Amino acid sequence: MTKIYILLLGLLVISCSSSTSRLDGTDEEREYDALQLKGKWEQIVEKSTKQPVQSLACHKVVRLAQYRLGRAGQDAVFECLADSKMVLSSEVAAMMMSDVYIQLGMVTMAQRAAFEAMVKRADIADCERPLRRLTETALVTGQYELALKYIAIVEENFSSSDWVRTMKPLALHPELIRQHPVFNQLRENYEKTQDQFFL
Amino acid sequence: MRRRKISSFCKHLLVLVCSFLVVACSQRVEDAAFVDEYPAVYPDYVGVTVPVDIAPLNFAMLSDSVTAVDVEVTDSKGGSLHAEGEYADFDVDEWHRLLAANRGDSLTVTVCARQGGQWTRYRDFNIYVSSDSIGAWGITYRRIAPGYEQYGLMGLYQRCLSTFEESALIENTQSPGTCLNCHTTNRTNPDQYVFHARGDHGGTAVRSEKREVRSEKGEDRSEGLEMLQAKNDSLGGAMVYPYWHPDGRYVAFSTNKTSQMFHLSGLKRIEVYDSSSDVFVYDTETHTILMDTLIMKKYCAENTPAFSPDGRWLYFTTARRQVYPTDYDKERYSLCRVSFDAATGRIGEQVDILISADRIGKSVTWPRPSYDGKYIMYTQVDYGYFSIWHPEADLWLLDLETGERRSLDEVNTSRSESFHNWTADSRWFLFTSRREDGLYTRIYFSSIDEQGHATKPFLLPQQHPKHYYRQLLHSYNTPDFTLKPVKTESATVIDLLERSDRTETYVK
Repeated sequence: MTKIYILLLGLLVISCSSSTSRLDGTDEEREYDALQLKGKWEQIVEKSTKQPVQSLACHKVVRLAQYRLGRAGQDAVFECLADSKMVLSSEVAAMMMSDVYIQLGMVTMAQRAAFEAMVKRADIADCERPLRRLTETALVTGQYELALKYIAIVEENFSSSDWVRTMKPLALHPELIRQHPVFNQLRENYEKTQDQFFL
Repeated sequence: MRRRKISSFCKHLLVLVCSFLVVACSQRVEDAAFVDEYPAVYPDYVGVTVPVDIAPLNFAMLSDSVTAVDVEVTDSKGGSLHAEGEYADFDVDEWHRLLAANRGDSLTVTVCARQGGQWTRYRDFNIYVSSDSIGAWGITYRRIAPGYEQYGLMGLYQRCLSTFEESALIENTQSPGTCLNCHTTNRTNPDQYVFHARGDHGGTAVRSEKREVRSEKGEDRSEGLEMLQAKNDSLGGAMVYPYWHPDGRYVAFSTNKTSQMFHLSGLKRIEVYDSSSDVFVYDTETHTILMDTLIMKKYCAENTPAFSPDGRWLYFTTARRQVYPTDYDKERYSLCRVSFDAATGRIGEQVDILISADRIGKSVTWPRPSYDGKYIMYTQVDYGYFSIWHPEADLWLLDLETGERRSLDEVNTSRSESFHNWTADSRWFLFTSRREDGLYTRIYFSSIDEQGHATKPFLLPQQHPKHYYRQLLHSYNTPDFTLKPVKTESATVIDLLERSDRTETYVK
C-alpha cells in the first residue's frame, strides 16, 4: 500500500448503477453517495463547505474529492484508511466507503465494506449493489467460484443482464481479467500489495 | 342436445391439449450420445457412501447449460427409481424403500443430460449404501454470514437427516443485537445442552436434566434450564468453547479474549486470535468454576477443551502466547491432556503432551475424541486455532491406541476443513468445508471403518441443492449430530436472556 491508485470510474459505473434506495443510511449519506457515484467532486467539496459534514463516511468522500481536485495530498487521503470500522456506520456509508477503497485500489477493504453492507440486510432483494461489488472484488482476488456464485444470485434476483454479460466471462475465463483495463489494474495492485492487517 | 355435443367436443379438445402438453413437456431421452466419463453432478455424489436412512441425494448437472436430466437409480435386485426434469428430485418414500432394500449394497445411477437439444448419456456411477444407519435423528448447527464485524440474521437450527425438514431452535431476530454461539449437547443427547449468547443481554444457557432448579423466588425454572451470567469477574471472561463431561455434571469451557484482524492481501481474509485464553471446568450442580493452574498458565493460551469418552481425561490445546499482530503466525497449539476425577472434581497433577506443536511445526485445534475411545479427530493449521479462515486447515486423525496420526486425505481439500463431530456410535462424522467457493462453509458427512479409513464425503442433502446452496449467503457453523429432535424452547430462552437476573457462578 505504498502507492495510491486512483482508478477510472469505469468500475464504479459498472458496479453502482444499481439502486441504493433500499439500503439504510442518513439523507446526508445518500446525497454524498449519489454525488460520488457521478464523480461530482466539485459539488461534493462545495456542499461540505456550505454545511459541515456529519457522517464519517461523508467526511472521507470529501477528502477523496479534495484529492481528486488536487486540493489535498496523499497523506490526507491515507487518513481515509483509519477508522475502517467506525466509518461503516450504515449500509449506505459502508457502500460509499467500499467505493472509496476500490478507487484507491484497496480491494480487500472494499470487499469488507461491501460485505458488511450486505449482511446487515436480511433480504437479498436489497443487496444488488453489495453483491456486485463483492463479485468484482472476488474477481480481483482470484476467487472465481465465489464470483460465479454472486453473479448467479444477481442474475436470478435482479435485472442486470448487461452487468452479468460483462462479469460472467471474466469469472469463467479469468485470463480475460488481464485484458480488462480496470480489473487488470486492480489485480496488479492487489498482487503487489504486501500483506498487512487492518482492523 | 346441442349443449351435450359442445360439452363432448370440449372434453375431446381438453384430452387432445393435455396429450399434447404431456408429449411436449416430457424430457424423453432420444438418441443419447454416450460419453465414457462420470457426469459432473452437483453435489458430487459420485461414489459416495451414505447411511441407509439419509434423505434423497437429489442432484443437478453442474453446468447451467444443461436444461434437463433423466436419472435412473437401480439395484441388483430389480428395484429402481426414476427422476426427470431440471434436476433429479427423488420421491422421499421411494428413495427410502430403495435404500432399505439395499443396505450394505450399492445402487447404480444412470444419468442422461440434455444440452443444446442433444442428449448425452454418461458412465454409470455408484452410490454405496452403508449397513450402518446414521445413528442420529439429525443435526444441529448455527447459520451465519461468514462476515467480519456485522452478523445480521443468524440462528441455531436443527435438521432431520432423513428428510429435508429444518426448524429454528432460536434466531437472533427474537432477541435483537444478540450473537448466538454454538449449541453443544452431551454426546449428541439434546436433553443436555449449553450455548452462549453475546450482546446486551448476554448469558450462558445450560440445560441439565439432572435436577430441578428453583429461582430465588422459589419458582421452577423450566426443567433445568438456567441462564448463567455472561462473565465471571474472577474468571476474567465469558464461557466460550464448551464440552460436556459424559456423566453430565461437568462442562469444560475455555474462556477467551478474542479479537480479529483483516488481511490486506493474500489468500486469507481474517485472522481470529485470542489475546488470552484459559480452560476450566464448570460444575452444573454447585455452579462452581473449577480452576487449576495447570490449565490456566500465565504465559500460555489454553483452549478447545474436550473430555475423553470415559471422562477420565481432559484434552485441551495450548500455545505460548505471542505478540499480535507481529507474531501472529508463530502461535502454534499443542494437544495435551490432564486427568480428571469426576468424583472429586479434581484435575490431575501432570500434563501429557500428545502432539507437540514444536515438533510438528503446525498447530492443533478442535480435538474431538470419538465416543468409542479409539481416536481423536482434530484440525491442523499452520498457526493459530480459528481454522475456518485458514485454507490449509485439514482434518487429522490421532489413533489413541498406537499414537499414530495421519491426515484424513480421503476428506481433505486445499480449502478449510474444520468443525467436526462424531455420531454417538462413532461410525460417522460430519465436518464443515469451504471447498465449494472458499468462503461459504457447508456440511459434509463421512463414515469411518474398522481400519480407520474414511469414505468419500457427501454434502448435506437438500431438496434442490444447486439452487439452495448457490443462493445461500450464510455459512454452516459448529454442526453436531443430535440423537433426537431438540425440544424447542426459544421463548423460554429469550425470556431468560431478557431477564436481568442470572444464575451466579462461583470460583473454586
